[in-house]
Amino acid sequence: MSLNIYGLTFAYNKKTGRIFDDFSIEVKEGSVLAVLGKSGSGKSTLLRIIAGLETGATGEIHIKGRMCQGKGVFIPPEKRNVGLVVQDYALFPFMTVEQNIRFGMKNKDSDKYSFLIDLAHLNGLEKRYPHEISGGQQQRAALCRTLAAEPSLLLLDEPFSSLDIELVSEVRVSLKEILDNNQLTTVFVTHNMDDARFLADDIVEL
Amino acid sequence: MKQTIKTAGFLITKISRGHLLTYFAAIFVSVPIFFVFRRMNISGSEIWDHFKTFLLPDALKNTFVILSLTLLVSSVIGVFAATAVEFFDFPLRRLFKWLMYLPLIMPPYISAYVYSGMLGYTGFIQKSLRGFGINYDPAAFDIMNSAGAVYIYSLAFFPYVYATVRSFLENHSADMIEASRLLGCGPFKIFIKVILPLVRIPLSAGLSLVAMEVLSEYGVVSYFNIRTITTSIFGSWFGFGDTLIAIRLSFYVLLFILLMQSIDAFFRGKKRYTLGSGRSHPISPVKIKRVSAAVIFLLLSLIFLTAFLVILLQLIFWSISAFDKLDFISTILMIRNSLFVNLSAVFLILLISILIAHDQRWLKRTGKLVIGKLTQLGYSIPGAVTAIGVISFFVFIDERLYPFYSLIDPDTKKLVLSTSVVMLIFALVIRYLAVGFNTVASGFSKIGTKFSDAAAVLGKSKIKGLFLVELPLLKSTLLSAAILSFVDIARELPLTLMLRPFNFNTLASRVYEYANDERIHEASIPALILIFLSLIGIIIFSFIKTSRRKRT
Repeated sequence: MSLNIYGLTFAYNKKTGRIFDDFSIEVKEGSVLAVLGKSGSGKSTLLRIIAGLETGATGEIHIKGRMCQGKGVFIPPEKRNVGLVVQDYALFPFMTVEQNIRFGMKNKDSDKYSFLIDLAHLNGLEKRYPHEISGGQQQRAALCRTLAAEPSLLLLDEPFSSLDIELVSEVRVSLKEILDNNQLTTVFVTHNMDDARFLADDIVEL
Repeated sequence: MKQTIKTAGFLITKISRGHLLTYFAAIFVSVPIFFVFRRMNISGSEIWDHFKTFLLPDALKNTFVILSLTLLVSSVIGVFAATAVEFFDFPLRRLFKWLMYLPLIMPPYISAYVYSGMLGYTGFIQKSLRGFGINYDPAAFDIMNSAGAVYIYSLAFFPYVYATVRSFLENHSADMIEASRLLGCGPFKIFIKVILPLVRIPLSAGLSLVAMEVLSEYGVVSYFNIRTITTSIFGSWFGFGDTLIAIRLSFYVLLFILLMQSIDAFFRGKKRYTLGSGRSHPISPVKIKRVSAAVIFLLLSLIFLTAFLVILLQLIFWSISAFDKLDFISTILMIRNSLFVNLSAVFLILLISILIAHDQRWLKRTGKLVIGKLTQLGYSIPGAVTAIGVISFFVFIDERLYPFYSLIDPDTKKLVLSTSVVMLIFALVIRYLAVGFNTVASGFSKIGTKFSDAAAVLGKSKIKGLFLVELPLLKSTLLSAAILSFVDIARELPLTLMLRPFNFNTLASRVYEYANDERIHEASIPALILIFLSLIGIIIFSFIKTSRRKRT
């Protein structure tokens, strides 16, 4: 198993109540899991907890057999080797596409960089700033940046929510291609059943 | 059909009339500034030649040194404090978020008087050293020089950098900081590679505010007897009775500010510093080692102590010893005068801001740009220059109105408005309009035109829509604008000194007079009242901000 969560319990505060109460899940190596749910059901929070961006959760999280969170254990996000692509992509606006992608690369291997640029069809856009490319291209650039850091687990938060409806099917196909090529364990959250069916091997509903 | 066209035509005329009023208001408050530059063509005078040869080089050098060092030190303190409270977890982090704003209410000339008193031969520091029998060089404690001015200014003005940088980090950086963490970066790399480039725009905005304040400030450099552009403007006005030097100097100051802004824009190039919807969640502060947390805590405490608490405590101590000499009647008169001038200016600032900000939502881009520039004009030039513009403007009006004055009272003096408190209030409105306007305009821009449109569809005019729907919605924004303007006006000095009517004292002018007469202990009481008035304002402002954040 690549990701195991046991007995996860989490609440932002007493007023909101528990978002997760003894929640458990297992994701197989190399598979894609879609987490479906309505707004406010805790989909994005789940990804943030897995990434280590939310503290205060109880239960255990194991990534590739390593306990990242559990009793007395909390590995900070920068040491979990998890990639997260958020809804707004969080590309660094003052860096070009190339600088963004190279930012998290462990070795500045240009073959890897060229491979990713080809894979995401970003050729010719490397010197552009994020605001100079389209939403779909931004999404692919954010994904490339995450893949360049060679994460052992990929988390995608509503990957199509910021895109125009015409772009969604195009980006969905290219994302599927990228995920298939990388054989990377992936958890993505969505509220759209079609997206879940198209991309995922397994579906979980919150 | 005919009826519809007629109605549409009527509406357009009505909107245009509204715009006319907006343009009129914006131009009216900037006219005095143009009065300054109207006189730029006047050919050189003997005084100017003398000034240019003997005094200008020194004034330019000192201004440049003080300005550039203050910008450097304020940016280091401001960026450090903003990053620390937003990004790291350490004891009392939330309290420090608020404490770092407090130095804003401490007028720099009061800090200067207090520090020179504390560090002087009879001050407690040298006294204590002598008491302990320690040998020292008294010159080492001399603060009345350019380095001292940099110290005072940096501690007084760093909150401008802190406020702009912190607000940017709070609203725009969480996603990017988290992305960097997930890409394997530690706190140091994130600070160097992400935060520093990200805060470039707010830093430059904060630094331009610091620059305006330094270029406008008169009390500190005058007390320390340093020749700068501002003291030269005052000197030429009071010493030589010459406005030409002031006009030329202010023109050069404006050119300098424009040059700095152009250089900044050039280096910024195509880069942007925000992207996406601007939706963000709070940054989760990074847990750091105990030693690092202690260092941050100590540094922030040191900043707060030196920029605020030490000064406040010394003022309290001095005011206790000066309490016997306090003249209650004149103190109450000073408070009344200060509040009258301040609140009148704040009221007018709000009125003009509402008028312009309400209407500018329907203006085209160029119109918005012109209005934006006109409302910022008064804030972007030194206070002493505004004073000269306002005096010229009021004398011009008095000359035109003299026949009318004579009709009412045949024995009238020629200058009526220009010797009244109206001139000072008007100058304060011009100088601080930008402070109130920016807050009000941002409030109007956030609510957009949807409420006005809804009111119109329900048969209410724009004015009715404004009073019945939009102003109640913007209550807390208006209060914030009023408080920010109040606090800024409370600590203003150059305009008050130049434009107050004869024998009209405010708290600020009395502090200045006492301190210049070496009656520093007596100066502490009006200084304390002034600080407490501003402190109340800041507390209400923070309360509004916190409750607004809780609601959203």
